[in-house]
Amino acid sequence: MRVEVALIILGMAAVTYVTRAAFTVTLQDRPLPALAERWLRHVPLAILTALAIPGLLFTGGALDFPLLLPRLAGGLATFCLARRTGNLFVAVAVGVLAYLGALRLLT
Amino acid sequence: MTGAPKARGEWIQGAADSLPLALGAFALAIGFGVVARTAGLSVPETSLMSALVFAGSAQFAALPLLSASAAPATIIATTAAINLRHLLMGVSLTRVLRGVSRPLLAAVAFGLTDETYALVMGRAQRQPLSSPYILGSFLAMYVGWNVGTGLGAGLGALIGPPERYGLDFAVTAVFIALLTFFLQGRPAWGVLGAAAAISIGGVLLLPGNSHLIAAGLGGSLVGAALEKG
Repeated sequence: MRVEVALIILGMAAVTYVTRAAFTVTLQDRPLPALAERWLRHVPLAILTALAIPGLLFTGGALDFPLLLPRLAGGLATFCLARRTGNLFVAVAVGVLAYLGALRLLT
Repeated sequence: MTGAPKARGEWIQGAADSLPLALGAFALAIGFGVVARTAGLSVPETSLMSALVFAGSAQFAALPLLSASAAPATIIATTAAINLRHLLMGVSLTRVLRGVSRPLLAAVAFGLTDETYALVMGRAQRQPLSSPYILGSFLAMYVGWNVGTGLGAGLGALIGPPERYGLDFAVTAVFIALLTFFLQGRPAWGVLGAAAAISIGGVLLLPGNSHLIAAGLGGSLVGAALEKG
């Protein structure tokens, strides 16, 4: 193992950990202003949306047309089942099956 | 924190709920191992990076920089920039995780990936969140990421990049299912619309994965504004 590469990896690990721990450890059990609480309530949905939508539409930063329809079919099935049943496992399993089914039909 | 049997159940539940995400990470990590070797890293170097950094997009971004012998400060600054979104996730996690000791929080923070964050926030939407649940999810993700990295780096030349059999879509599906748990009331739909629009624009216009932090901030601010009115 090259020393310089190991040191770079240690530096990467350190800055990654700092971004993950900075607020997690310091703001725990500390009340925040009402305005901040109201804002933070919406952060999870915003981030989940930003994780989900690009995965539905893009591959490597560009629209992925061959996969677009299967992904939309699977995504719609997942969305509807999750809304209806509230069951993560069932919604994901049926969504993946819908995706694979549409993929097979369309290619 | 509650008694031991409950805590053990929570560990297992956290790991089990993470399974599709961990399989997705496993498949992606094989790809990472393969690419890292072609970028000139040795097997131990590749494995060390996954073991210590444990951050997919930052690790991928470092590879071309390492193979071009970029300055260490550049590589580390790039890593920090890509991981800025974790600051936002960290703040929001503290709103649902209460009464956990500092040392335990320090461990929880190490495992704060996009996937585990998504999963535990969805869980917290429906029942009180425990640190064993988070650690169970972390463990599943960590094993998937590191075993995949080792396989890709060690045997990648033999097996080639993996056929992913819908695993990449499974990860997206988990995110979609989790987001529905938050869709109650008008402001939530506003958040969904705003974050969707910003993330699409962000993927097309912004570098790397900065669409996550842009949509995370923009979407949640829209939600706060709608709640007021």
